[in-house]
Parts: sequence; structure tokens; C-alpha cells
Amino acid sequence: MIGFEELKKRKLFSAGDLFFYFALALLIVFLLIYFAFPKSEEEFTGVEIRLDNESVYTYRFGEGGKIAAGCESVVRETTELGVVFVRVTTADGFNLIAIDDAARSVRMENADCSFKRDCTHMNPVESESGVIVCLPHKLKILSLSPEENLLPTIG
Amino acid sequence: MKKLYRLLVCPVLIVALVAATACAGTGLKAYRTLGYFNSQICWAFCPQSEQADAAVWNELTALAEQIEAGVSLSQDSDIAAFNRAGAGERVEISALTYRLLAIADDCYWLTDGAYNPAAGILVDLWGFSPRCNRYDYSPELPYDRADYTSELPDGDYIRAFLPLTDFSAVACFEENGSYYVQKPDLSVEKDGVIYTVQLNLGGLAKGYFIDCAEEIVRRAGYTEGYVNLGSSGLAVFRDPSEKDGVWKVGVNPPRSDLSEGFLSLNIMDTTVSTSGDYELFYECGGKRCCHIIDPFTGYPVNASPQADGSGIITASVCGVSGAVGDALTTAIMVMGPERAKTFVKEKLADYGAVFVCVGSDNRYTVCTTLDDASFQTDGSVSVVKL
Repeated sequence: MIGFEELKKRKLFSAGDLFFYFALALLIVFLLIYFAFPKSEEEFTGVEIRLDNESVYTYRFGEGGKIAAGCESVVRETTELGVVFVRVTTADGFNLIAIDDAARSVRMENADCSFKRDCTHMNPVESESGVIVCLPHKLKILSLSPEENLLPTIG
Repeated sequence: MKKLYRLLVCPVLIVALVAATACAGTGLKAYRTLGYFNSQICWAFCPQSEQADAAVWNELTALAEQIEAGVSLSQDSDIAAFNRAGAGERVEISALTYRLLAIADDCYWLTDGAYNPAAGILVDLWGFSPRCNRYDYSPELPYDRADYTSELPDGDYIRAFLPLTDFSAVACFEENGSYYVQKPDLSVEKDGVIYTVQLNLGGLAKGYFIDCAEEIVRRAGYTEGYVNLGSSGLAVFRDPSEKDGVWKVGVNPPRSDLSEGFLSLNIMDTTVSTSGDYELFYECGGKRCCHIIDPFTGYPVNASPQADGSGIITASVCGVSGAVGDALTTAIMVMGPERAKTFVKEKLADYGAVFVCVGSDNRYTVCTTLDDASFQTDGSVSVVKL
């Protein structure tokens, strides 16, 4: 049986314990930062344009764009005031994509897909997880190394 | 000894913490395609062989193409042919369309008409049919508006079209191995144009795809992953990263003041169907006009002149077939909270039904028949068990 006075004299933690708990706290903070905050834009290196799930164009920031082999009749690239415009034209219609290399931002500039042109109102792709989808034209703009999120959602 | 115990606790805690941060769904590969049913199809699975995976994927896309060709309003489908036909005419349809109409008929009677595939003309009146979303859309019919999202339809048209939503008058039958649908001898003349019954099987067809896709994937021996079609239909198998195989499926927040994770379902080896008023809608005259039209009032759900902003904003059903689930979730949206509670308790007690209501005070309530282990909320909504 330990007396009350003896219990009061005992240290709650020894130096070794404190070291381990400190290391554990550091690990928790690291994991929180790693998973809770977005990764640096360095990992957002460029975008890919897919038509019916086939890659037709890729753009790497700082390097430039490349039209996939065999897609030259579908994709046309022009540059205006430092912004690269990529026009994708198929039998369904056209999409005009604007790539601002300096701002690392890619947006849907114009399209003739629907009355409200929904894809032109989507947020620009500015990170790994960004994506623009034009459903009527089966066109998708996504990061070159997209974060693969395979968790199902509904609704 | 005590010291050793304490030192051992730390590594164990660290390992547990790292394990807890591992992502669900690991080990899965996914095929995706855009365009069918104006949605994305995604099949997530644990790979077998490149050849086997590709064979299943090809079967899934061929199935989507076949179903869409049967019921799409924008293609030369059976349903488009029915909608073009005059009152009293008979139209030959495929076995697939016949099957879908039979399911629609069951659901129509089960829900006392709250699910009504003959509300097609009202869907068009409110601007939700494919022709209204074409890039080159311009008014063709007397009731068309130049911009249907900034002007409500003429109330006279809503009243005139209500009699054309009588699905009980649509007859489907088989004759000498062929299938037919008979258009009711009902028509309405308004402003010099004759209107007849119009069908829309869009939602139900998506659920039917999920049912067939689930069968294809299972038959090929895949027991993990899921197939989804847009955000309205999902067939889940097992989650390979969870010991018990249970997926945590997030329900997308139907309003911006609800956060991701406000509601999730813990499910496996089942199908889920969802309808909501937040994916396809426009705001006009201070009301949110969504694509689900109440066949009894002729107005979008929660947007009739008497609506006060309250009502059901999303509904999901698990355990029934995808096609039936699609029809039932639409019906639950139409019924409104009180009628839906009674319906779910009486008809869906053995299945998982969950719907979210918003009150006129802007508070959210989740009503469900699911047991406590099958769903969770983040505490921002109140829960009513049915």
C-alpha cells in the first residue's frame, strides 16, 4: 500500500518518458500538417486534356504544351499575351482552354456544349486536385499527377 | 517493468496513429468514362488481369450505350418515338424499354403516383429536357422562354398539362414476340398546338444501368470496389482496405452550409440511389426550381406557390434495386416530409432509407430507417429514426 505522502513525492514522468511523448506530439503535428493542408504548388506541374478518356494534349508549366500524336487535326494551340489557348474541336463542337503559365492557372475560356456553357463556369484548375469537366463533349482537364480519390460518394 | 510498459506504449500509439491515417479504398484501380446519361461512369476495382479488367469495362460501356439508346430523349430512342407519336398511336419498343416501363409502372402504383414517368411534358415546360440545354437553343414552342432560367412558365400551361400526366392510361403489352406501348387517347390544345402524353425514364434508366453493371462485375468475379453513375447511383462491393469490407460512403452536402461528411453511410454489397434538388436547378422568382417535378401540382418540388422553402432536399435508398431506388427517391422528394415518413415506415422498413429535410427555420433533419451502425453524421443535423 502506497501512502499519500509517498505518492506526492513520486514524479509523474521520467525524462525518458517525456522525450517519447514529445516525439509523439511532433509526429502528430507532422501528420496533421501533411494530411490537412494542401501540398505545395511545386507538385502541380501541369495539366492534361482528355477527350473521351484519351489524352490529346499535355502542358508542363515552364516547358510548354504537346499535342498527342494523331490529334493534330483536333487540337490547335496559339499564344496571346503570354496565355496559351488550346482549341479542341470535334464533331460535337469546340472547347477553348486558356493556360496561364505564370499564374499556374488553367480555365475553360469558351465552349459550345450547352445553353449555359456549364464548363466555362467551373473553377480554374490550380492544384493537383483541380478538374474541369465538359460532359456533353466528353472532355476533361486535370492535373498531370492528379490526386487519385477513389472514395465513393453519393448525392 | 512499469517503465518498460510505458516505453512500449509510445511505439504502439505511433503505429496505431499511422494506421489510422491510411486511406480507405487503397489497392483499387479505376476506369472512368464521360458522356453516358450526361454523367460519368466510374468502376473502381482490385485488378485481376489487364485483359479481364478491360473485358468487364467494355461490357459496362456497351451496356450504357444500349440503355441510353433505348430511353434517351436526345437520340432516336423508343421513348423519343413515343413522345413524337400522336394520341392513341401504338409504338413498337425493345424488350429493354418494355422492362423499364414495367418497373416504372410498379413504382407508379407503389408510390400512389408520386413517381410518375408521364410528367415528361412538365419537365420540358420547366426547361429541364435536353433540348432546352442545347447550345443553340432558341424558343420553338409557344411556352418556351428565351432564357428559361429567368422567367417562370405561364401558370395556364401548368394547369393545362396536368391531365397529360396520367401514366395509368399508358398501356404496354407483348404481341407475337414484339413489345408495344400504346399512347393514351389524351390531348390538350393550347395556343394552336396539340400536346400529348410525354414520357421521361431518365432517372430510372440510370438505376437500371447500376443493377446490370453490378451483375456484370460480380459475374466476372470482382468482389471489391464499386460502380457509380454520376452521383445518383452506386453499387458498392467490399472496401479492400477495411477488415470488415464496409465502405464509408459520403453523402454530398445538398446545401453550402452543410459540410462534407455531414452524413455518411456505412455499407457494403448493396446499391444506393439518390435524388436531390441541388444538382440540376435554377433560381427564379425567389424559388429554387429543381428538375424533379411534382406531378400533382405541376411545379418543381419545394417550389410551388405555397412552398415556404421547407421540404426534402435529398433522399437515398439502399438495398432495393438501383432502378426501383431511383424511382423511390424521386417519389420521396415529391411526397414531402410527412407523407414520406409514413411511406418509408410502411413500405421501406426492411430497406435503408434516409432523407434530409430543411425546415422553414433553415434547420436540417435527417430521417432514416437505418440502424445506428449504418450511418453517421457530424452532429450538425438532428436525426429522427423512423
